[in-house]
Amino acid sequence: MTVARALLILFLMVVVGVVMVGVRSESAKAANRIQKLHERKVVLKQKLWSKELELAQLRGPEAIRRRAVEMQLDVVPPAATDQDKAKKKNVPPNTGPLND
Amino acid sequence: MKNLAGQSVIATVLIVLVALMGRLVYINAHDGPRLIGLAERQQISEVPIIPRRGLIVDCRGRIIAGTTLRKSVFVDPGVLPDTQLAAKTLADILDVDPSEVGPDLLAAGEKRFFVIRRGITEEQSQRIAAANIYGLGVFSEPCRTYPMNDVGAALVGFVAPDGVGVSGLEYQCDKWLAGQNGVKTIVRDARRKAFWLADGGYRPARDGFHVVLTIDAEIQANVERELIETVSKYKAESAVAIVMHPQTGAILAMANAPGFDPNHYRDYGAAYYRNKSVTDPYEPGSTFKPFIASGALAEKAVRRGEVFDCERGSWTDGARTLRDHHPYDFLSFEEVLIKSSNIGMGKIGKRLGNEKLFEYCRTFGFGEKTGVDLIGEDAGILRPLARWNSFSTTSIPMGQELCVTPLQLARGYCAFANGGKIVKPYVLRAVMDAGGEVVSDFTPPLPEEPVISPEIIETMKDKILVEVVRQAASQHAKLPNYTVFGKTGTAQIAKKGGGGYVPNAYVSSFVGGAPAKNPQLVVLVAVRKPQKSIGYYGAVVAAPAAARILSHALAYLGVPPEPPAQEPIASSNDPNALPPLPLDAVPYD
Repeated sequence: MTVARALLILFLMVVVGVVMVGVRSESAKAANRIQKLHERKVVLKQKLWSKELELAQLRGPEAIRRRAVEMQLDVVPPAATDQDKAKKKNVPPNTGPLND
Repeated sequence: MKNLAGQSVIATVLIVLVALMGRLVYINAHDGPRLIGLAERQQISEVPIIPRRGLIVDCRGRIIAGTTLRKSVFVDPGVLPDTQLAAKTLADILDVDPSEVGPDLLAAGEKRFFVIRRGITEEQSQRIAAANIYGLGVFSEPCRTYPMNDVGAALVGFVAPDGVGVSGLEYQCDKWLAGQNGVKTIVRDARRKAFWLADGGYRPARDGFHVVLTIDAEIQANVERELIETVSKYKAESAVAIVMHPQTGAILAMANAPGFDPNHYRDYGAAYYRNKSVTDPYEPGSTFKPFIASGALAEKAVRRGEVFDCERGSWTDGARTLRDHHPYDFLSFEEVLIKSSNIGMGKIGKRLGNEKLFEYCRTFGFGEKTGVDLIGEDAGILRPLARWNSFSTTSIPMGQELCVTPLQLARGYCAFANGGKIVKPYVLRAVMDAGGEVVSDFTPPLPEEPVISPEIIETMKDKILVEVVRQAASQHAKLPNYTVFGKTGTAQIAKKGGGGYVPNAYVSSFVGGAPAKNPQLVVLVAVRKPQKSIGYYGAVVAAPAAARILSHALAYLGVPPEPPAQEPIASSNDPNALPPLPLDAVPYD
């Protein structure tokens, strides 16, 4: 084996090594990015769920009635005010079966 | 010499290399699996992916129960450097007294993971992270939320903190709502920070299916509001109401009062959690009379317009004396129902006899479960025929000696509204996956055959039950734009274990529907133990609430108004027959 051939082999091995490290590095970066995207997806899902429920609260019959009263839209019977909630708290707490 | 020295160096290097390689081979062969395991334990961890619990939505897709994520604080007491300092810091962030947090930290004992406080704010979460106390951390956990608060609470139920349904539909539909856990395999760096996903290390969670109900949140909320008003006004113990679509059996509202807020279910007792419409039977009283009257017509035991001597309000039959709220001389068959004469019904019962009475109770589905898709349904109480006696002959026609659930009674009235068919009530409409595809459709098949002649049913509805609302004190249930049919009841409450009735304790009820020509809704309102001094007749207590519920629901559903029925009823030609009562008169029940 000549010195030149030995150097060539050494060079090729270095190149292959560098390429492998590069590939490994890119693969790690990609995997890391996927992991970060997963984390982001979880955060976004949380936000979506939270917004969905916020929307559900706003779409709730009581919320709509309250807003209609606040905006004086004159489409809600007089009883449907915040007093409803107060009345709910005043009902007697004892409750039993319909048939004693 | 120089050459020899060089060869010695090379030989030494080679020996060292061979020794190293040998050591490597030894380690690989001998300790390899153990070391690989150790490395994997340090670098790779499997993290469960918690699925989102499915939504419970009403028939228009409005969310009644949903899941969000909340931040909670945990502690690992084993590594906590200074409990006092941690308690002080945490108390400062959570804005509470350190004495409130300290015992919690100490209570953690030997546990490695102990939740100190659930549902903290985002800002508090960031401050805890910034405090950087080893052993104290914040994590996210699913949190079941009921955005409409108490709407449909007894029906929907609630889940325990671990996310498992423990009451109502949350419990019943847990298999659909729960979903399946996923898992991700994470490679971590030296500081245990998630670095990347391992190859093939991601199995997504399957979110829970959504459950679609037949309930309409708007109607449900209004029904609950009316019940609360009624319970409050009459200082009653409790009330239930049901709104049903009589043609299909779909339940649009099913409510209890007082209700509870499932977001804070621990603040209420177990009695609040019960869905009384299906679990609590009661004696129906006069609301039961139309079923027996229909049976009497079907058996030709009575004729329309036939006159009954109502004995001026007191009639002794064997060992038993029946009384009417008002003394009547003669009433036509129709008037017996319109004026709710117990004596008239007793006489009709005697014509039918116990066997036929029992048969028609069963015909309308009493004494057996309705088959509604809700857990805990009671079958009511209809004693076996062998245990009936001569008292039963006159008691059953008045709605005594048997108990029905509100749902059984509402379903019975659906038969008056749909031409005599016994529908199967249902609340679960469908189950959908997270993408909105229907997984299961629970709409039950419609009944084909009526259990009793449609002509008799029409007669009962159009000629009698409409007149009950038009003429008698039940006109509290009258609506300006719709013809309402129905019947009131004021039933005494039987003592536990028998032996008579509880004094001054009643279940005041109204069951009916509208529009009479083509009924779209049947509504039942039953109010338990209203205060007698304020009012206790079904016509006074329950009928107005039922009317408001009907009025709201019919308008909301866009049911076109209809002119009121004009046809006069058959009369006994009795010159002493009572004229229609004014609204403030004593009602008949």
